[in-house]
Amino acid sequence: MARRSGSAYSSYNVTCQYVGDAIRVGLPREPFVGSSVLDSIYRNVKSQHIRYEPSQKACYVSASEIDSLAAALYDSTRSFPSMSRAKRFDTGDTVMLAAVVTGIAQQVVYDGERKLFVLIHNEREYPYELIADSEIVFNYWKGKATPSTASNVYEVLGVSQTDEESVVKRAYKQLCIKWHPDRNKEPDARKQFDAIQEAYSIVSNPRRRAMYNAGLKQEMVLAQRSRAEQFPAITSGHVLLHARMILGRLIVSTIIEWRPL
Amino acid sequence: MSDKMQLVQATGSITQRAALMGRTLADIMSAADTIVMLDISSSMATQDSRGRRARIDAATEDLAKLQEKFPGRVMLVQFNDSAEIVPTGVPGEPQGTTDVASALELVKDFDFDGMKFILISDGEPNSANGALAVAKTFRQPIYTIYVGPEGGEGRAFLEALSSATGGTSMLAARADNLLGVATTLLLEQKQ
Repeated sequence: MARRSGSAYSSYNVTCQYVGDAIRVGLPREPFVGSSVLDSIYRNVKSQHIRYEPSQKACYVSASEIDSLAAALYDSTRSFPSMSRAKRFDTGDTVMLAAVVTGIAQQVVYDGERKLFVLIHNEREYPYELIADSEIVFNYWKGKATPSTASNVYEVLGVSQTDEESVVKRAYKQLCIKWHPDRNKEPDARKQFDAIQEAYSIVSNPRRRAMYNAGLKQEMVLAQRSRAEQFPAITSGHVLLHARMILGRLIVSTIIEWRPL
Repeated sequence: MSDKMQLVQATGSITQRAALMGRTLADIMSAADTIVMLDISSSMATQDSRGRRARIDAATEDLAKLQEKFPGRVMLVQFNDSAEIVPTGVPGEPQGTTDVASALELVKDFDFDGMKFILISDGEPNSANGALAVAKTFRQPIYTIYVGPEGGEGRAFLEALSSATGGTSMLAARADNLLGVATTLLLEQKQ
């Protein structure tokens, strides 16, 4: 890992909560990338292993699936351009912290430039240095996503749930220009164009948009209920990570305190 | 255990429609144009409906038929001490009080052109004035269906509520004709 200079360093606490067979990792601050992007990642890449809850600023990792998670983390790096032995990693600090807490990662390095690194030095087949760079992640997903692969109508149009009508309309027009079958010769242009039309028919209609938003909330409620039934709460507490400076970097290595609530 | 306790989701409900079509809950809900607010307060357990059945059972049975007849178009909101959306279309057991205002406040977010509101109740609300105050802020009419006993005091409140919003109030003869009343509303108001 190349050494960085001129960075400010900081440490932080995280909150952990054992929820049945899972470990809930509370975040000390907002995730680096937009929640919709993270949602996509978790849904599309490793929804079976990690669940992210934007409203709770937390992610859930199944403690019984550590090996599967490690494999998923490794697999997720395959699609990224490799940097010699370093592999870009496609999530933000939420997963990094989860990785530390669950023992996948032995070291986490965080610098003041909003970059997170996780070193995995286990004896299995993942002796890789994983790098999380929120901007790379964001740009990667932004570039990769197409309207028909988006998980909700806002992602289709590339707008946020709170964007006003004028913003939505502008985005819609730009997408129409890009994906209109008469202009775009991609084989799936019609499919993408139809997805754009369908999304806009919802977002541009106040009633349908309100109902759609309520539906998104319901999806989250149902997912939480399902999870709660699967993993009933047992106990909870706070955890403090141990950190030290090595070669100008803050190294978080172990959990030094567990304080049950 | 009553019959409805065995139901996971009603035929034609939001969740069933989503599963059937392979779409998300949000996709299906975006196409719903009717919200049925169903009173599940303890008084709805009174067994004076058809065949000596509880009002809630009769209402649930008719609600199920309504969802089946208009798949994906009906979203259920149940209320007693509080209100919640029930995408499965199967209401809970009757218990608690009748907080009509909480139901109205919940569905107020969907008060846009093309939305139809139907309130089904049998009793007096916790706060008639509070409920009426919320109702008066609605742009769309609220139709009410009274399922309590004939001559009951609750009917006057429902009439006042629908009147305040430009809607109408109907008597469902102890829930005997709920389906017919609601269907008529849906067909008449079809967009």
